Amino acid sequence: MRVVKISFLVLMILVTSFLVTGCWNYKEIDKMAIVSGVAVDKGKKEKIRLTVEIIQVSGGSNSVTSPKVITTEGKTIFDAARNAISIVGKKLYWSHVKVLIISKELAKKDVIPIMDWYKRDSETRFDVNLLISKGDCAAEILTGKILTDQIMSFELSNMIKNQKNLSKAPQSNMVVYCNQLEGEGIQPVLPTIELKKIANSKIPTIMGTGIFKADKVVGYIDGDETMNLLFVKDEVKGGVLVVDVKEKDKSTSVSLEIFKSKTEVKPIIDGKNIKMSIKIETETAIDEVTSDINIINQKGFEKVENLAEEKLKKQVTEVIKKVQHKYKADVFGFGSKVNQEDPKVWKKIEKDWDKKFENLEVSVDAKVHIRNSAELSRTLKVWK
Amino acid sequence: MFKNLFKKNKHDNNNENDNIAIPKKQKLVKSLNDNIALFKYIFKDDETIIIRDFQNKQLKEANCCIIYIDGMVNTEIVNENIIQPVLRTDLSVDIESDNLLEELKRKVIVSNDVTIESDIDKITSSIIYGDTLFLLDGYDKALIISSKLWLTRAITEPESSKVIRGPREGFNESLIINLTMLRRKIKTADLKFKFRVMGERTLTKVCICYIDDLVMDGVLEELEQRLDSIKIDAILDSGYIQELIKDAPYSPIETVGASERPDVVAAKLLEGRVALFVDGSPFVLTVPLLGIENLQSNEDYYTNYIYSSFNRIIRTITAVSSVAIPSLFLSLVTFHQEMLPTPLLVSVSASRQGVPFPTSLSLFVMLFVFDILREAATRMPGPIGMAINIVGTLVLGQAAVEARLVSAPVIIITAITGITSLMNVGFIGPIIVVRSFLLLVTSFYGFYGFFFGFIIVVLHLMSIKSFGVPYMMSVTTVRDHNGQDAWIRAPWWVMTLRPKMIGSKNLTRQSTEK
Repeated sequence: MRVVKISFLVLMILVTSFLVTGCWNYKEIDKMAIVSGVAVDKGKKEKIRLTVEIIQVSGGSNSVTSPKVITTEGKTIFDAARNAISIVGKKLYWSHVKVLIISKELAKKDVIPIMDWYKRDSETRFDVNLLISKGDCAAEILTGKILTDQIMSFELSNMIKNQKNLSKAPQSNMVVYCNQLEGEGIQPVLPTIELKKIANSKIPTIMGTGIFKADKVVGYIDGDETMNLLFVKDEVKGGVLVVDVKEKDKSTSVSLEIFKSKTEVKPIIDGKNIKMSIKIETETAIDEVTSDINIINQKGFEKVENLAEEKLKKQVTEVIKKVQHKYKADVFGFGSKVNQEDPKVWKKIEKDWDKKFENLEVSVDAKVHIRNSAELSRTLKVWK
Repeated sequence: MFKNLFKKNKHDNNNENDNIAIPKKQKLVKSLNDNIALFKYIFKDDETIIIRDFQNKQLKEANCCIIYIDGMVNTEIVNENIIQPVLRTDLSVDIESDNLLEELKRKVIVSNDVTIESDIDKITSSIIYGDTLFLLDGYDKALIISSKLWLTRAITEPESSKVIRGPREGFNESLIINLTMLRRKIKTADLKFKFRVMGERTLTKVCICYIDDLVMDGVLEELEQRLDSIKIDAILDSGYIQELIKDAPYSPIETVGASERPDVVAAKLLEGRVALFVDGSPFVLTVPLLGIENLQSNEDYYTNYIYSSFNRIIRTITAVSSVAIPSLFLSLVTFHQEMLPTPLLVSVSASRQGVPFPTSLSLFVMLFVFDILREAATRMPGPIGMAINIVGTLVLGQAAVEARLVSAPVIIITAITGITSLMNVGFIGPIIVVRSFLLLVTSFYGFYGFFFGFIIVVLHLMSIKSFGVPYMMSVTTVRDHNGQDAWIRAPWWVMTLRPKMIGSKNLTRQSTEK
């Protein structure tokens, strides 16, 4: 009897293990189409037009990977994604998507339909880089000219990754974006991408920021303004500050490389009055001096530091003003800072924060410190 | 079900035993001719038996006869120490003729080991062992004179475990020589040897060996009990006993250790273990066996402790990876592609293009082929070993990939698995079993199956005991002194204590007093 029981059990296990293999997603790697990048546009016939870049692999000892771009339409994104099977033949595999580009048109209406599917589906990943296409068609970016990589999406993802040495576009992925979208007292931002025509070929460029109010884009700021925005958001990790120095009748530009930057945003709550105080502290080094004015000394450093501080202060204030009055979206997260500082006050003013933000008084204080002058301790002297 | 099968077999064996005619109890008589006839009857159809009768010159009534087996005796001893003195000595002088046999033993025969014996069974077995039987007319007793000749293999370095640093001697097939080798290592009277005879037909000598004031008494008793319960007709190698006294009979894991090296056995005895020598086998069994012993080498103790620890860690990693690598690869490539870095995914995908068989099948087949190669290389006579290399590398590796029968990563995984399993030759059996089991569950359930399978294996390992000592003892410990000699080998000046449990009778290995 025991033998019968045990053999029955073994039989059951064997049978079920064969039956449930289908559910356990045994899928051969060569049987799927690896999606590397996605662009979402408004469809011509249906609601959504989905353009995906697929990595095409040709096997053999010297294998070549090449991109292939296909476009499908559907009522929803998921519908469009599944419709792709009828074109590609293989099931699209979404786990390795590097970039998700949203068209200007869709971003203006709302992005929730895109974000929801992308967050909900089991194959898609949250660390995908989000981009807003400033051109008319997001799909065009995937067919642009590739310069350094074999696959466009890989190149775009490298561009975004290396933005930390430039700070002219914000870093954003699905997690960050959704946190900003759902967070109190903060509005999301996304980096923008557009095709620039350089020598007869269209090359995608990531620069600038799309400003969101709730789930709609309300406006764009350019690369330099983005850097100032990032200063306020304390997201500057590198980049260049250019300062113009005038001495007697000569003038020169000094490039400062940013090594470290820290920004402290503190709300000053005084009864009903709320003020924001922003303190920026930046460590830099001189990396370029465009004439032979001698500034590589204590005095020169101090002079450049002062000029840089003033410039930074002015620029940051300008950007804050612009966002406050033109877009009226609290992308800096001032509201959340108030919430952190005093939740009770925040509860009272939460409802009309939009108005409050518009007229918020912001004081900016910048400190730039020059560490050294890189590998040259003097300026290049010209012999006359 | 299996139990019934085994029982049936046993029963059949017993039946066979009954059919064999056991010689009837016979007795020595006073007539020499009758006695010779008796032995001729016992050893009938055995032409190696030599019966030589002779007579003393002076004492005519001293009719003698010696019986021995050709090749088993040292003929020099027989000629010069038995026949010559008995023939030449003047037995009429100085000999009390009423007890001639006793007098011969005392005054004539030149031998270190002579006994008077009348039991026919004992006499027969002595002759078979290589002693010479001396019969004298008029006596119903006989002399057994030791004249054994042992032809043994030279003491060489064992093929199964070579070292760079350390003693190069290995056990051979002679029990006595093996015991001497051990005795030369441990020169103390506390080293005890207990003999017993096992195997109803082979009458194999077996020796339990231990150090009296270190041994775990429980283990010794348990070993003796288990040996008592063995009723097998033949023991040709210690492997028979190893399997018969095993703790977990249906598990691939061995719970009895075996070594070919005297230094290893000596070290294990000195930790409190018991050794079992079997005549005719160079492999000496040791109990209890801990899992970690599979990852230890005698060389670890002879070389620098940092280097030894490094080697042990390598052995551990290779043992685990040899078990896990194929199934990890399989689950990554066929279930959880999202866990692969994108460039790797692309290159694996490229290598899979145009390959007809599923990854799981090709992994199974390639690992099977590797095991075929391994087994072939083990059994193959030396001169044709080259053929295996050519078949293995060219045909199965390169050509299979070029013909797109298997993908290149599968070959690489097979190669890594093979090499890592060959690093742990001592327990390659369990490795193959566990690896195949994990690969099977992984091919159905991915990582989910892998981890369930792994848990099952770990639970099994944790549940095994070797002679009452947990098999995985000192694997999980890092803090107490058992951890000093487990994953790593601590410097000798630190290892002042013997392992817990095994050496609990006398823990101190190094006196810390100054």
